[in-house]
Amino acid sequence: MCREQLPVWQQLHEQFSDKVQFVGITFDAQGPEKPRFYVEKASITFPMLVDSQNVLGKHFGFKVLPNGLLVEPGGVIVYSKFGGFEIRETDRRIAIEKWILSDQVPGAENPISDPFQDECLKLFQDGIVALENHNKGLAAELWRKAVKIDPKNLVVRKQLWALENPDRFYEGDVDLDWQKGLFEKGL
Amino acid sequence: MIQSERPFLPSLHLPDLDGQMIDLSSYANKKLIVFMWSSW
Repeated sequence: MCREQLPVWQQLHEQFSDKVQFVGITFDAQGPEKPRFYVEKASITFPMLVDSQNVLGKHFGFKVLPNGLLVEPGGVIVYSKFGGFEIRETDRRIAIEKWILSDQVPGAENPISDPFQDECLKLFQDGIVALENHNKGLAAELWRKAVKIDPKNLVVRKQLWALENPDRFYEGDVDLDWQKGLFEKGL
Repeated sequence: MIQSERPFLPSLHLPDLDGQMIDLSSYANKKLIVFMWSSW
């Protein structure tokens, strides 16, 4: 789960902040208040941006999280991993520390092979606008349509679940067994 | 977006937790790690 990585990123930041800049970007159409809790809990001191309008999702075309980019000074992205970018995996952590210390770029993992579908993206973005206008019911309806078109789109699915079941996501631990049950039922 | 061999970090403006707008590419004057996540 994405948010459980935060303390590890903070630890890396403390260890390597003289060599590398860390930036976190959190995705939640409901805005900064939900993620703020976890950012404060992990005592994050590196910059944390909020993407509540899927700006980066549209740019890169991903429909999964967590994702990671390694960027050279000047802005060239030398490594990207969309989905399953997990710093608690030993091999990945070693590869990233190597890059920090020696510029050795980790082997390519995945460019996006299965992007956000156009129709799905439109429904997702329309739902974001609806939510900005405080029309939660319409947002849920549009996102449900998007999920029907592309059940594998985890960004929309989880955003919908989080909107409709905040107690399962934001208060205490994320209920992964419950998510798994929904996923298996195709909801 | 079609992924080129060496894509570039886009100049996209996003707010921080306090609402201050920041250009993502402004961090790229140094080696940079971007981590994208969600609360769920």
